[in-house]
Amino acid sequence: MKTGARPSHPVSNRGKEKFILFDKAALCGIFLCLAGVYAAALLPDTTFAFLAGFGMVFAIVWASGAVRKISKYGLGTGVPSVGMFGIGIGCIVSLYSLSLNSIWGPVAGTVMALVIGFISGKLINKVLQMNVPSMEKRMAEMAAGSTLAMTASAVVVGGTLNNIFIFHDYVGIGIVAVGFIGCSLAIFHAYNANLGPDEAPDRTRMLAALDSFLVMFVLGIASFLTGEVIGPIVTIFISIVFILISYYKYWTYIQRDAWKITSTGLLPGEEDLN
Amino acid sequence: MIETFVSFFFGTSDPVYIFTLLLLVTFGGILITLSVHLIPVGGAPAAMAQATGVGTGTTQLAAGAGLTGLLIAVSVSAATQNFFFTILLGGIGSAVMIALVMLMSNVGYIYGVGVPPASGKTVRDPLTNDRQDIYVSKGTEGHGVPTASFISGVFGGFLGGASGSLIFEVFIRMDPVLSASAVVLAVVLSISLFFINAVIASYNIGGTIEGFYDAKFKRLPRAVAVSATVTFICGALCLLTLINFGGII
Repeated sequence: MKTGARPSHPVSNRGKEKFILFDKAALCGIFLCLAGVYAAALLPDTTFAFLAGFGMVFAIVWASGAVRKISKYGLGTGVPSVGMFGIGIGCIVSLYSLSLNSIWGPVAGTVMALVIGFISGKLINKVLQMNVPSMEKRMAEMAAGSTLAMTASAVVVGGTLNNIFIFHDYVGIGIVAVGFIGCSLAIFHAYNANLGPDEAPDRTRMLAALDSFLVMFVLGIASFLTGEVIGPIVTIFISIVFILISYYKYWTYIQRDAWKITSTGLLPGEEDLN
Repeated sequence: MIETFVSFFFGTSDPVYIFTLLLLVTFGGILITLSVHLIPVGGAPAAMAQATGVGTGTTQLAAGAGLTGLLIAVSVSAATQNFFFTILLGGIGSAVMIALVMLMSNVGYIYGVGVPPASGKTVRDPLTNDRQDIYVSKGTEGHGVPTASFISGVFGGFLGGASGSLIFEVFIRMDPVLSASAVVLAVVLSISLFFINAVIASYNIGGTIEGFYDAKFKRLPRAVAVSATVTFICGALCLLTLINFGGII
């Protein structure tokens, strides 16, 4: 079952890439995520908290694209280390931006994460002499994507940007740990699972989306701890629907890229062995 | 206007005290970087018994040791509220954890794979003065965790756990009241700083290192410079987060 031709890989002019965030992935990641976060936070009911979950998906897909582009170069330290660096910065900056108790918190956090990611990428390239082309841009993208994902995960649980509710509903009862490790897994798992000579960008992206919907599902279950009922149920229902859709699409991509899929058959029964 | 801007980002607290705490956090970050340089990490080659060290990545190994240290530090801090006792016991917890990991991986290498622990980077072990090169299999860069690497790893684990506990203690002391929510916030922020510094050290050593006698250990100053800068920025944000959330706790 072949669904369309395999996309070709254009030869990128590495090293000549400038720090411009006007590609489609970055615009989707920043603006759709911020739109989801603000829609979920400004709508008065926590029923719409799932909109921030969609924002989280876009941010994670953006960040995992950045992880893919760094790791493809071959750092020798493993894909998870790249993702953990991004989520480390993202967790700190997102908690800071949420603690500001301001409507401009997520925007300020994104800008701050871009700056910190750029500085650390520059230092890693120049001082540690990694000399990976466009490291600054990818580090900045990854830090900003992680920040947006963590902010969105807080809004999925809290449904607001008010720092009192965020602190008691998200940080105080420990859901922040679920957000931390869930977002980090979703960001680096996609490329870590798909890497190799036959890696296809759309398949990696679809796995990142599947991972983020799984994180959204877990966050939906965790939001029952905040005392809400309708909002978590809506989040869980919508995430299950999208988990099934993205799993089906990922499976079709696997079937497209695999040379042959054979089934191993059932285990031999008692009478076959004797 | 300027006062509004400053209070928007910085809140209101005594700047000298905050700056001292920030320097402590930066020192902790530098110690984490040093500790990762001391732990024998082999990466994927060591998982196939083709390089000296434990067969997993730097980040995972450092995180495992550091998180164990933090777990102990949190419980000791809640029980005693003693600054130095917390740091000491956090370090010991990490050292025990990393020693067990190295011991069990050595058991796997010796009795499972069937190779003696030997270093590929030196001719003689710097601590015991035993010959190493005749035990190294052809085509590999050593295998297992030899004595010098083991000692180095235990010391690195102690430093990592102690520095993670130091950062945690600084963060928990920022809060006016000791509550469960304050502990969660301090732990999450210190884990984030731990991961950032572990990855910086991991980039510096290129994924694998054998211990203090490895040639890559001489690259340490570069990692310290990067770690100090990044930890200073991120540590400032952590302290500001704690100040902003401090009124709620």
